[in-house]
Amino acid sequence: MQATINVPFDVSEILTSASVDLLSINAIIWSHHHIDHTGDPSLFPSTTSLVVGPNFKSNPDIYPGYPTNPGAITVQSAFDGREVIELDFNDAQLTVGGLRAIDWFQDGSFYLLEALGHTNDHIVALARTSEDKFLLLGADAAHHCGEFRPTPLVPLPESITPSPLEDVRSSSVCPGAIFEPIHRSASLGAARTTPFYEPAAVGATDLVKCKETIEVIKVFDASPDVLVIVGHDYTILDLLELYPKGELTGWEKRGPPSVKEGLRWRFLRDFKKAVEANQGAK
Amino acid sequence: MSNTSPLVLPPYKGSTVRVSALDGGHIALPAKFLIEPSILGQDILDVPAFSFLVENHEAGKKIMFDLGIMKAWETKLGPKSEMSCLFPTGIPDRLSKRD
Repeated sequence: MQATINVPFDVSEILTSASVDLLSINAIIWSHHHIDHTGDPSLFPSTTSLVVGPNFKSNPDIYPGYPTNPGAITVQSAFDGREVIELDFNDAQLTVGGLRAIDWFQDGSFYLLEALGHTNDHIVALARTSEDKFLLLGADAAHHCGEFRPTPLVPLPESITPSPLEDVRSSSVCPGAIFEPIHRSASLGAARTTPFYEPAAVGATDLVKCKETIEVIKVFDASPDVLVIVGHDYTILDLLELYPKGELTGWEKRGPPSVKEGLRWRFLRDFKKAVEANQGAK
Repeated sequence: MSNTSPLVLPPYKGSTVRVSALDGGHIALPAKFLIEPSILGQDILDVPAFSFLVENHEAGKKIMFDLGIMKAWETKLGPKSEMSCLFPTGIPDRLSKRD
């Protein structure tokens, strides 16, 4: 198996189709420099600035971009003709969840948080979607929800409703116990309070920091006021619609099931085959 | 649900943002390069790459947080960027170019 990529539209095309003037986009913020996050900034006007994480411009593998820098994994056209702002968390006046934070609009509505480990320039974003509710846009702080669920703060329940193996809007119930035997910590009796996965060393520039960042994600995830969405979390599509059909704002008012509780254990459906194989082996 | 979270969130200053998720394409790759241990039936991470539109009406500002994947990835990216960027510690032997 090799990696495969499928991209029907550039994000700029989706915006234009929805009658968003690209001139109204003040900035593109990259969570980090990988191609499944960086898109194609050259399709945005030169007035759109590009914001990158710490340690970016000093990394010869990513700045400048290809072909100016033949070995670069970024593309120079992303930078050409526009302001490229590297975030400096040394000036940060505040921390959130232990992570150094920058109040981007300086009005408490949107914070960029230093969240290194997957790469040395990785950041996440905390967006205030109502007076006391937030989205944590986690990018690649984790690649699967099973890296930060379950935890002692949010243990795998005795019974899961709706069942992750059934429709999200059904009143189905599934015993949490069926997922215990396939858990890496089953023999330690810790399956209910330990995440199913850990980050792989090959996918992290700094594995220690990567794991520290995941510890913080767990704390955000345990807050009833925060919906954590990592960059590749397909499970959100069970209850939330993509732009322009829908928006994420207002997530706390929807349901039943509530978005946070309804989505929390959906990732367990990925383990259906493993559960069935385990049951068949008995 | 009672709030047992140890998290202290920043105080409200009168502004919020509207956030939308956009389809930034799709990527499928071997799960073992990103997460472990291997779990039966989960060899491949076949996932969307989301982009987020963040609108601050009070400030009259819009930003994008991430852009997903560029449509022209096959022609615009350099030789190093195609896959190596997903693996900061080097391209695993069994993963070269796309199919």
